[in-house]
Amino acid sequence: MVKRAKNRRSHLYWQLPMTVVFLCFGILVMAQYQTNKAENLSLQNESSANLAMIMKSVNDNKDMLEAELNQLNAQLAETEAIVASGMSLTTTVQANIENLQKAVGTVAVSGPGVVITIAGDSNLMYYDLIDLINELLVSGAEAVAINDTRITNRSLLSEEATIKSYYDESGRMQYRDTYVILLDGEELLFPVIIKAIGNPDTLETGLTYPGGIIENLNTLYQVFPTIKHNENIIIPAAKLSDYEYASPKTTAAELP
Amino acid sequence: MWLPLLGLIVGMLIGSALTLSIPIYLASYLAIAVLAGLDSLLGGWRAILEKKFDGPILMSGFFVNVILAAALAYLGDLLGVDLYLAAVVAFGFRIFNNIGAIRHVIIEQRRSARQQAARRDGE
Repeated sequence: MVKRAKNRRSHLYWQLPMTVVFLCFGILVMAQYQTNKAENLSLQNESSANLAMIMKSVNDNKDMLEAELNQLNAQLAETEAIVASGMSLTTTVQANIENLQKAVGTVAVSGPGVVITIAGDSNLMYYDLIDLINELLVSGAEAVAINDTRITNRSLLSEEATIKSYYDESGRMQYRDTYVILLDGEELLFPVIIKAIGNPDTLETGLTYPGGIIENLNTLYQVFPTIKHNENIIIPAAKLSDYEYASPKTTAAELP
Repeated sequence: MWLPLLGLIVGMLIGSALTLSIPIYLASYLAIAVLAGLDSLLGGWRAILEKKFDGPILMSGFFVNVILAAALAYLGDLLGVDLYLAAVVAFGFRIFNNIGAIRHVIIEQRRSARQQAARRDGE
């Protein structure tokens, strides 16, 4: 019994240090194994022939990628040029459309110009208005409106003269002339206010030069328009007229 | 008997779990350290078999040998002398020596055990 107990103790006596040493040794061995593995994988351990091959393939790859980069850069420049030209085309087209809209009168416009007012008690005839507008246009008016109705290429000025019969206080039938100016088929109410956008001085001198239309109106017909400069005249848009029968001879693509 | 083996396995598991990767310029020192550790282990086994085992001597021998072997290889690198090779040869020699001694002891133990058994049979 005593001998066995002693034996067991001697077992413990060598087992503990051996276990500790073995544990440390295991860690050491694994560390060395992993280091060795990493070293074998590293470029340092490759033969020079292999290194040359690796370098060549890496270089080839680099050349290929550079060529691709150049190609893509060229493509980018090309695309950018296309986009830029597209943008300039868009702005040109937009400017064109704006100009056309201004000319046709489908957009409201504002700017400096003159305001001509003709009072109600005057002998104004419709062709006086036509003359006035013509004179304004000749003097460089870019947009004209009568009583806030835009004058366009489709505007129509006409007259309606009727004789109305009525009975006076004594019961006798009397006749009376009525004269109405029609603008686009609607009766034009007094006072007539003509607004024109353009260089105010040019517009005014275009109307008031000696022997000009204002002088004629004053002396011949006793119509006395007053002209005022205004720095910010607003002229409304005209209604877009429908075109049922007319179609363009050239397509949109052929437009300048 | 199984406890040291278990220690070895656990140590290897810890080592691989930690994925200790020593810088490459230290790898040769570590290799020498491993050789020194193996030598110490075999020396300890031999001492057990020869009933001369001493725990403190084994432990101190293991750690001091490991550190000294690495230090010696480093010194060799500093001086430009391949002490590294000397350590490899020395430890290799000692390892074979230890293995030879272990072999001897085991065989003699077996032989004496068989003789004792024969004698007991004879009686």
